[in-house]
Amino acid sequence: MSETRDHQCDAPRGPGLDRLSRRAFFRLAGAGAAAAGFAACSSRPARDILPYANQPPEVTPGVPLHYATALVEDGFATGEVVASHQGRPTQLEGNPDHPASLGATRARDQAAVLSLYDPQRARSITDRGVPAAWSAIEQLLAAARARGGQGLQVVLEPTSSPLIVELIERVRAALPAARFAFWAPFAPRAQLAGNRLALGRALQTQLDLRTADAIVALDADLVADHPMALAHARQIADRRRVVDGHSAMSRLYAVESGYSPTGVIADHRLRVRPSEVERIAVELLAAVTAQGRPGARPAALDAALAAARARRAPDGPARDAATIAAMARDLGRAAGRSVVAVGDRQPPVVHAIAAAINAALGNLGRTVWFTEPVVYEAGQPSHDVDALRGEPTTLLVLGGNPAYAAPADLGLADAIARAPASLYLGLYDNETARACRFVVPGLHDLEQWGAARAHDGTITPIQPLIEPLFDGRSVAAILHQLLGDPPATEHARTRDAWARRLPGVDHDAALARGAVAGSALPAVAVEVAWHALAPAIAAAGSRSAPLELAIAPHPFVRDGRHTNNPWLLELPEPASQLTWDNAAQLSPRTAAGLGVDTGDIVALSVAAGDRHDHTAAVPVIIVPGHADDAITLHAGFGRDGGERVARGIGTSAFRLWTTAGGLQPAVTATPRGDHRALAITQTHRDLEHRPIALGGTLHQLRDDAAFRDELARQRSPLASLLDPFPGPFPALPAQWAMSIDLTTCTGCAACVMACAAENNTPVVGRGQVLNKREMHWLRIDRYVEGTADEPVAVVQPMTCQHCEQAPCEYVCPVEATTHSADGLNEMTYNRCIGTRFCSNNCPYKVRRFNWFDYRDRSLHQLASNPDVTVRDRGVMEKCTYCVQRIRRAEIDARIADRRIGTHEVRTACQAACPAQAIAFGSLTDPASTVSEQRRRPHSYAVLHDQGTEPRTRYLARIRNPGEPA
Amino acid sequence: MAALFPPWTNTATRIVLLALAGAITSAIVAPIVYARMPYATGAGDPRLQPIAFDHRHHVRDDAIDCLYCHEDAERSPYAGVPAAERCLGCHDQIWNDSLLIAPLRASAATGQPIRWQRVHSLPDFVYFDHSIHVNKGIGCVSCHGRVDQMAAVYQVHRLSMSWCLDCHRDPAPHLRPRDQITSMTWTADSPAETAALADHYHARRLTHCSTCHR
Repeated sequence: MSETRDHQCDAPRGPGLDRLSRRAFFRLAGAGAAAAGFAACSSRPARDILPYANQPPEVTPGVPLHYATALVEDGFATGEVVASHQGRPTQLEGNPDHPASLGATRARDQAAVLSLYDPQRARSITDRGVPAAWSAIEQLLAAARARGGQGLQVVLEPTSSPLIVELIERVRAALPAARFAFWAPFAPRAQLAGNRLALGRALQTQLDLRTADAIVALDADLVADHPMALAHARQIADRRRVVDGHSAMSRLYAVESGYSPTGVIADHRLRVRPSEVERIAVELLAAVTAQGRPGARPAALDAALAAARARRAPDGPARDAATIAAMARDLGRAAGRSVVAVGDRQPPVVHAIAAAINAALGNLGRTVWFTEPVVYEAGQPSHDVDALRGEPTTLLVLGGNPAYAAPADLGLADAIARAPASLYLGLYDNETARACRFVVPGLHDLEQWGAARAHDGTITPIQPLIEPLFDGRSVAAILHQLLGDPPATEHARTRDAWARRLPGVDHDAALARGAVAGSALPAVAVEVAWHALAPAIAAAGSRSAPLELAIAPHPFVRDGRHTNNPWLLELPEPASQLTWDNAAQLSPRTAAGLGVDTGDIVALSVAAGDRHDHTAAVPVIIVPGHADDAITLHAGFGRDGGERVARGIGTSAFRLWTTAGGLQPAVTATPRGDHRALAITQTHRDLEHRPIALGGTLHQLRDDAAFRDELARQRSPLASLLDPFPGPFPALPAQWAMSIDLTTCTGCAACVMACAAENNTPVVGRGQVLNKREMHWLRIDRYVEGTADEPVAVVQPMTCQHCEQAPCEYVCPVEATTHSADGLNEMTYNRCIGTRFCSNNCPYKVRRFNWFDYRDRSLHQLASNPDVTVRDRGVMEKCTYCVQRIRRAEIDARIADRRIGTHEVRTACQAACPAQAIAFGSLTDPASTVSEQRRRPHSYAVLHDQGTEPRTRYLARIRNPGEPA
Repeated sequence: MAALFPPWTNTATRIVLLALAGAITSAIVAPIVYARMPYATGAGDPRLQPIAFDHRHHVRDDAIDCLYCHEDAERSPYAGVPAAERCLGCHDQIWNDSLLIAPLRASAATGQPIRWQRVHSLPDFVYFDHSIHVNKGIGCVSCHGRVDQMAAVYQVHRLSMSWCLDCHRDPAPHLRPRDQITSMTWTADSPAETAALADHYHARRLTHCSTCHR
């Protein structure tokens, strides 16, 4: 256990100054002074210029190129556009032409560039840890081929790639005895099973939320944990943008146990234990089908509903009943324009019920439709846990990490180690690699050729941004070798396979666009099989336990695949703002019942009756708004492989995963009496009645003059002794400003990651986060309002407000922070002497100080943005409004002798935001979004009473709650 | 009782006080002077290059335009050093067997770059952009001096922040027509011409920090 161990990324503490004698101190100080004198004697250091020998025609040194490619997770592609500086990929942004991205990125996508340059990636082929040659792999695969695949088991990650599928089919034809398994712990399975139950076929549910007026999310984190989350977030936000009190706004209900980003933007949130969702789904089905739409309530359903409801807890909370009635009413009013969505942790019957409700509401073909699964053989036995069993003579694990990320009672690590011949292909020397004999370095997504489908089926080409850094091999290369027909090059293999599998689709055109337009899968005509569904409904809702656990993928490190990425470990988890750890999230009431507080360690235990230990000792973290009698524990931690950053952080939630208990098992929690300090970035969640994160309802905005006046007061001129800011703004230069819409912000933290990636903000490690020295320029504050029983979280991205009357500027003794003509509050690192006066005088607390030299001199530094200074120790830093992008656009515009386009400058946070909650532009341009948003009635300035006149304004958080049913 | 201090101590005190004042003054002034000395700025210090490339010959004798080799200056922050293949565009025809350009042939053959020594080096926190200067009428010679008269290129100006600001505060006198950017000898005929250029380029004072520091 690592309860007290600090992470090695922590900043150095210096050479034990506390143990130093006075004499030794002066000796060191004297030596230091002398050394500094010598250093000053050196003339300029010699620096090389290395031109190309043969310069590629498309490359202009200093000007980045952009390539479309995709990142693939559990088989689902998300399109990206990657910036490359002379062959060095540095930053990802979303591909606007890709349906799963629409131009936005997830936090973990942004961090992919750091994983690419991870110095701890597997670097060479090894045989039990000893470097080996590729010929050894060739022999292994040739032997398997010679046996006709007898005893051969191939475990792959779920794939949607037409090119890999072709290879699998060829292997199956050539080696009929070979067995294939596809494994990813959080790949969607329940949805396919549920649709098979309701519709007779294992189909994939597709959602179009563009026209959805009423949405019910049943344990479904639509905007953050879904292969189409970015598209969902955008579509939901587009229906919820408030211009004034008369704006039309959709209504979003969230029924969930943890506090997800979807719950944050919901109008109504029902916090229930995971098992209660079944009951609520049944109630909702009953209520919706009772609305008297023609043919919507077959007789078979009545008996089933009666049976299910007979088991309902006699003291079911009235609050739930009222909300369910309201949900049904709103769904009914918006019939054909509504959606009931279910998260994949819920059992198949809930998915089946949701399909039935959507059918009953006439949503099918409009907001909800079904397609064949995008992932190869999804919903079939090769994707089940059972496919991992067996005692193969030759085991090929091509990606993923099944030895870690699988039900613990399978004992897969031991099973893999027992295989006489085993090979692991992957990026890291992880748990599975350590159980296998041979390890072959894999390829990062940014290093390989290939193809994949998006969740809606859109074919997405993948192209490399860089040559493989560590002699990596692709999955296809291994399968080709298994067939005994190694291709000439990866590019040739991809081009040829593309031509065979996708005839008539131009590969080059697809690469240029990053997606094949119109290649989404067609909708499948379906009919609800009520008679098959009825028995399942009758049995629904029987699951219950005094304390329930939900094992959820961590929003950033997922199932552990990104746990070696320091960016993602230091990114505060949205619900708890915990970094560098996982913890048992539970409600204040549950914590009180257990007698524990944040940081206290509890032993979680799942009863399984096998020889494995299903106990995990984890610290508790109290999350207001979490369901009572339930615990959410994120997976991906407690890693035990060779990745040095990931190793020893947190505790593995997969130890509590059994084939019988599933990902939502009954659990017992026993306080252990010890404590672990948790690196949480925000511990005080009360607004203390200060005008920081304002909000109200759409009704208030329309009808409540007092509410509108209060908002207006937070932006109208104040009496001041200082000279007023001289307006109106001059026509030139541009006057930059930002506007952040709290209504659509989900707090998903994509912007925070994008900011860190763009601006080279360093990772400081757990110990320094505990000292409140995290360096993120942009943070997401989370406040809790409402009652103790029904807390409502409000999230607010907070960064430098670029005040017109900036308090930081008055107090800097060296003018290191000044105001530019275009309204930026500039921070000049080379002037800063580190007095920290500015930070002390900043009411928004957005300035960060480099207490140590945090610069990462490992291979990681290749991910740095060359357009931003890497800061040294002892200087203050903060959000610059991405001034490097502004100056770039300015130079481009001035060279072309034109004005900067209205939407030409996009800050990194703005570009990443899936909900487009951040707008940036010039106030001198009346067409800009910020100019328009500033005129809205709910635009306000945070801490307006301080007279700082911030350039960043917020749009108050507007909810659209329905009247009680 | 004899005086505690003999008379000569008055002189000694004066000398010590003067020396102290001198020391304090020089402690302040010396770094200021030092930072402006060519020794510190590197001005006038030609660098030994892997190939004894002579700008005098190429610019003056052959009249090759700066932008023929440093073509990125118009569109990139970096002016760029030509790729070996660019040099060989001429030199596989003329002087192609010269020993002087052996590193060039080696670079083209192996793909390994030639390690040129940087002459004009700005700190990493300065984001100088060639393209905007070249496109807005700042000639090569303004910063790099008479390269056409240099056997081995050396830095002519201090390249200190105050030197940059001399122009950034009032760019107009340094402007030249777009087609005279690479000229080593062009000068404005009249103040009216300078004023017209300033108007043409919309020249403006740019002294806020983020102009160069990001």
